[in-house]
Amino acid sequence: MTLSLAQRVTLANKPLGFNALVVERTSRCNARCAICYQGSSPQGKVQKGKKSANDAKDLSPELIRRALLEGSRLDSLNKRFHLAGGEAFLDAELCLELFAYAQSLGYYDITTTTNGFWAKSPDKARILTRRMREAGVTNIELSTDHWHAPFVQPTTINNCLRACLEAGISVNLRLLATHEHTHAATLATLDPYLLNHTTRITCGPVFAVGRATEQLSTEEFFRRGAEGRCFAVLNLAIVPNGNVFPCCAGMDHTDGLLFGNIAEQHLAEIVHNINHSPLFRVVSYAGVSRFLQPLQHLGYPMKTSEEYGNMCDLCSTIFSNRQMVADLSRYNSQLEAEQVRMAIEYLQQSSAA
Amino acid sequence: MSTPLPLHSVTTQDPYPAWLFREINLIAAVEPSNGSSIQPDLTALARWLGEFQRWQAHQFLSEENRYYLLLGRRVHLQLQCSWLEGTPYVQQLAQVVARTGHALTLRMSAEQALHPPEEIKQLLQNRRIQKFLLNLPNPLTAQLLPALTELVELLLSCRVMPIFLGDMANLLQSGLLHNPRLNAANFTLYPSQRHLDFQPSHPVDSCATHLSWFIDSKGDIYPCGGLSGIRSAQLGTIFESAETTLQRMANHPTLPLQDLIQHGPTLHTAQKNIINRFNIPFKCLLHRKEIEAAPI
Ligand code: SF4
Ligand code: SF4
Repeated sequence: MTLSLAQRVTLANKPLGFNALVVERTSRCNARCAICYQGSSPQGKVQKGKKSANDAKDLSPELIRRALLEGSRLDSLNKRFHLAGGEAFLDAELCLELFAYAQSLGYYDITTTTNGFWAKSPDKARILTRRMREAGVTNIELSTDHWHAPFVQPTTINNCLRACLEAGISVNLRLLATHEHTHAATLATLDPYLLNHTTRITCGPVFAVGRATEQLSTEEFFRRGAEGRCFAVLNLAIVPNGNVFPCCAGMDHTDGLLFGNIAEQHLAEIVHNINHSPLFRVVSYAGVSRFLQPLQHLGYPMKTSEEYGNMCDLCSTIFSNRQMVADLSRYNSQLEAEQVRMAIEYLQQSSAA
Repeated sequence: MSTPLPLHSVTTQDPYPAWLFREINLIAAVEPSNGSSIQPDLTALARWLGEFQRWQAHQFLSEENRYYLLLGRRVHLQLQCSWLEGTPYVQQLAQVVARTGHALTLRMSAEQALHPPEEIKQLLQNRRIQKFLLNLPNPLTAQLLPALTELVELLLSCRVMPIFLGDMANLLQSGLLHNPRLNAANFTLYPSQRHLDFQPSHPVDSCATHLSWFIDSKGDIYPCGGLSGIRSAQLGTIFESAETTLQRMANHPTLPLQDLIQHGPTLHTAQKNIINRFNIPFKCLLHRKEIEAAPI
């Protein structure tokens, strides 16, 4: 794991910033999409036909309110509140109440992810989006694609798009594709006028994570390799059992490296733990692929960097394995001692110069 | 103009939260009034960015660490000319941007972006440009498609994210979205009519996500693209010191930035029966009209 001096200084000192407070309120969802990275279902997180041992009930409204209040005072947190699930709108009234509370605390960007199932009739869609807008919602991320379609029809998505347009809520339509099921095919099912008035359409490939690993054949996946760093895209994510993670892109569904639980600690304390986690600092500032070599060295049969779907795929693999994390921690401590020695050497050299 | 405050004192006076102005939007175009060269002037821009960077470093080292993201992380260059005129400008800007620790996004009309020269290919290969936004023509003709596909595949092979701005029906008809390499990548679409011909029932919300250092081809700085060209909303220019810009931002005589961040513009003028014919958000259209006091 060779790092330049500048990288070492960043790794050691630079505080992490978070783009949003993301609350994954529930692991339950009306749908059970084959590509769900969280493995959500009406019963909660279900993978390989079983309920996950780590899955908790829904995160309580009291804890969410507490997190919002504590988050509103954190300097390193952008004042964006994002409510996600599973499907958060299984309890729409609670969502509205939380949005309004966030707005009263000074969060200026209030957003949510939904599959839009609640927009079955145009009237229902209109009423709910108007109330969302009044509660401060600025943007919704609307998931739709080949795998969502059996649970939420394109007509419902059209209702949702129209209602958001009328209410003044911007929409980020989020699509996933595989070799077989393209973005063009999904977009062709939607109303062209509404598509042209959507704020943004974000397209990405399905990766081999979550339920997709058991429901899709390996040939369908794309692979982009595990290189990359994530310090600029971090969020403070709270999962249904109250654990807090520095991202909502995969690590939040692991349990190998924990930073704290909102039921037991103040959010500021958890942020402190994240900021001072040597392993996480490597992941965010240097890239999780830095761990491949040490893990191979420690005897783990790792794939090459190119063989992983993306960096989050590798990250989930590593941080789901407690033994691997413990071994990496030990390895990293040795490395840190080495870094201190090099820093002293550098300072001695530069003061001599 | 008042005497500039020393850099460190701006922080103690201004009330802005840490995540403001995360991006720099730069419009570069051929300026006939300036000997037909591409403007704004990169030497002035580099100096302004450098000063700002030093100010940020100072904040970064101060005990509160609150303002380390003020300058942002990304420069969006909107290049309004062809490769023939623009290539040296992009090369130099890429250097400036890398030196000041930013990422670079390039935005061009698709027709002008086709067949990039070797120098630009090199920048792409070395990932000195991280995202590439293409304004698609309407109609997107079959003749254009092979060269456009070639460009998109070049971007993907360099791991540069393509972003398309255009008419969605047109794009779907063109068949570009069936490209297997595109379906294996992350990319974004911005429908070109997203703000047109419509008035939402709740048009106004916080401006926090819209604000940026918006620098036009004259080097004038505005707090967002929506207010570009309105003198009373100007924050400064790249030809003055970054301190002066920051100071004016902290004590702007007419622009209540803190209110804009939290709540968006306060509108007094009637908003009924107006149709957005411009490609800017409806609230920005209203805000411009409010400032200009133009009859609605
Ligand atoms: S690499 Fe890990 S920590 Fe970073 S965004 Fe991906 S899952 Fe999250
Ligand atoms: S409403 Fe005004 S200040 Fe806000 S983003 Fe639009 S033009 Fe800028």
